[in-house]
Amino acid sequence: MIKVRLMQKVMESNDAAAAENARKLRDAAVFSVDMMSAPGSGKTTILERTLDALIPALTIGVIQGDVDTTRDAERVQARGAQTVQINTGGACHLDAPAVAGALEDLDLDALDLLVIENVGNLICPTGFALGAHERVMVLSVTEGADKPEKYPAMFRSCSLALVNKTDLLPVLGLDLEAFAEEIARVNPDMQILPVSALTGEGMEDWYQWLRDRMAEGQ
Amino acid sequence: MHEFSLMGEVLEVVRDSAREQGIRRVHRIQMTVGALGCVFPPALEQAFGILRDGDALFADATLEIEERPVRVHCNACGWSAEGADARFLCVECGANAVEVMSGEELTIDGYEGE
Repeated sequence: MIKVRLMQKVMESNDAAAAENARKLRDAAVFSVDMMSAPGSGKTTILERTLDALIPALTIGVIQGDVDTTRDAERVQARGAQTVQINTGGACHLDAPAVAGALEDLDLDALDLLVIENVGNLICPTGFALGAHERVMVLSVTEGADKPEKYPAMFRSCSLALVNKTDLLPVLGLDLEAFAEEIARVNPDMQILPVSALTGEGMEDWYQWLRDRMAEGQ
Repeated sequence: MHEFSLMGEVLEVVRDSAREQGIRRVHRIQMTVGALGCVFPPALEQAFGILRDGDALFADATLEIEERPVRVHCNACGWSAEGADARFLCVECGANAVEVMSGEELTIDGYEGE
C-alpha cells in the first residue's frame, strides 16, 4: 500500500489557465469583466445598453456563455460588439480553458474592453476564475434582498454589484437600503451601483466605473 | 452540478500521480471541502460513484471528504465564530475587519493505492 500526499487545489489547472488568460488580456491592453447573476436579472439588457452607450468610442468584445441557444449572442452582436458564443452544452458555468478558446477567436489587439457574460447561476461559476480583471454581479431587485446571505461565496467573489430593475422598487415596496445592508453583511468591500436598464437611470455611473477602471489599467 | 466537472478533475489529478507512482489500483481518495466553497459533498460523492464505474484504476476506491465549517475572526476586536454563527461584518464591534480563517478549502489531500 502506498500513501501519496498531494495537498493540491482542485482548481489548480483552471487557475493556471485563468492566469494565462489574464496575461493575454494584459498584454493586449484589454480591460475585462466577468459578469455574474441569476437567470433573468437583466445582464444581457444591461450589456445591450452599455454597448449602445460606449460603442464606437470604445471597441468592445463579448464572450457569451450560455447553456444553449445563440439568442443572447445575437442580441449583443447586433449592437456592434465582437461576439463569441460559448455553448456550455448543459454545464452550469464557464471555465478558464473555455474562455481561452474564445479569446483565440477575438481580435484582442483591436479591443478596449471585453465583457464575459457568465452562465446565469449564483453557485457553480463562483470557484471558476476566468482571468478577467474584475467580477461584477448583477442583482435585480425582484430577486429579493436575501440573495447575498443565501449565496455569500458568489457575492464575496465580486467587487461591484449592479442592483438592477430599480424602477420596480415602488411596485415591490422595497427600498435600496435593504439591498445595500444585506450586501454589506456578506461583502463589506463591495461597491454598489443602483441601475435600471429599462429607464437608463444610474447607467451613467456604471459606464463611468468602467471608464475609471480602464483608465487605472493603462 | 459543477461537482461533476470538479470530480472529473480530481480523478485526472490522481490518475496522473498514480501513473508516476506506478499505482494500478486506488483504494481511497481524501479531500477537504469548505462550506464556503460552493461545493455540495453529496453531489461530489454521486459524481464519484458514476465516474468510477468501469474505470479499473478507481473501481474499488472510496472517497473521503473532510468538511470544514466557515470560521471567522475579527482582526479589530478578536471576536470569532463558526458555522451558522459566522458573519462577514463583525457582530461585536461592527468593524469591516473579519477574516475568513477556514471554509474556502477545496483540495485533494491525497490518496492510497497499490
